[in-house]
Amino acid sequence: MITLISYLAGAAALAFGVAVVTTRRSVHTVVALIGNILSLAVLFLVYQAQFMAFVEVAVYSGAILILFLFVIALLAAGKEEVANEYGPELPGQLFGGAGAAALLAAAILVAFRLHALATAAAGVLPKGYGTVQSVGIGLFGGYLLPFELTAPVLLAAIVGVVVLAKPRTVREEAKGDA
Amino acid sequence: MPEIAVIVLSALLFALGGYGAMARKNPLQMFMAIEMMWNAVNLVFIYFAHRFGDVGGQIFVFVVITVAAAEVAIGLGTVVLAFRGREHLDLDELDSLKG
Repeated sequence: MITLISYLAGAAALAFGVAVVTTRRSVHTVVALIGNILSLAVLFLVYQAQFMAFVEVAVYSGAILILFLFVIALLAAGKEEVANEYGPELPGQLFGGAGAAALLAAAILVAFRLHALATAAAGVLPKGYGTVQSVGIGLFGGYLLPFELTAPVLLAAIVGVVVLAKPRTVREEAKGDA
Repeated sequence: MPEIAVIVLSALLFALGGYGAMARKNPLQMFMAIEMMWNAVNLVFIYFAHRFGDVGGQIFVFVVITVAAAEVAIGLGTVVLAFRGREHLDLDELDSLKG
C-alpha cells in the first residue's frame, strides 16, 4: 500500500514538474508547482518526516507561492505572456545539453554502484522519528548553531526587501544625508 | 520505492528545474523552476534521513526551506523592481549591462 502511494506520488511529482517547465501562463505554473510540492509532501510522509511535510506545505505552498501570486498580480496581470522561444542558437548547444544530462545520469549511476551507500545497512529508526518532538530536540540540541544561523539569514532578507521596496527618491535622499 | 527510484526521481526533478531555469523567458516562471530544484534536493535529504535513522537530514531540509524563503523574498523584490513599468515580462529585455 505504502509502496503504491509512493509510486503514485512520485509519478505525480514528475508530471507536475514537467508542467512547471512547460505551462505557458504564470498562474498555471504556480498551480503546477503547488501540485509538485504536495506530491513531494506525500513522499515526505512516506519517509516519516511528518513535521517537515507540514513545513513544506505551510511554507512553500502556503507562503512562498502566495508571494508568487501577489507578484503575478502586480506584474503580469493583463499583459500578454512572452513565448518561451529560444534565443540565437549557439554552436553545439544541443550536444552540450545532452552531454551534461548524460554526465549527470552517469554520475548518479556510478555513485550508486560504487559508493558505500548502496550496501550500507539501514539505520534503526528511533522511536517517534520525524515527529515535532524529535525534530525539535534535534534543532535545539545538536543542531542549535545552524538553527540559530537561519535567524541572520532571514534578517538579511527582511532588510534587503525593505531597502529594495523603498522608492528611489527616498533612497537617494538618504544617500545625500549621509 | 527502491532507493535508485528515489534518487532518479530527485535527479529528474532537479534537471527539469535546471532546464526551466535556463529556457524560461518569464522571470517568475524561471524562479518557480528554481524552487523545484530546491525541492528535488529536499527529497533526497528526507529519504536518506529515513534510511539512516538520523533526524539530521530533516534539520538540513528545515534550513534549506528557510534559505529558499529568504531567496524568494529578495528575488521577487528584485524582479518587481526590474520589471515594474515594463511592457513585457521578458528576461531578454534586461540587457542594459550589455556592452
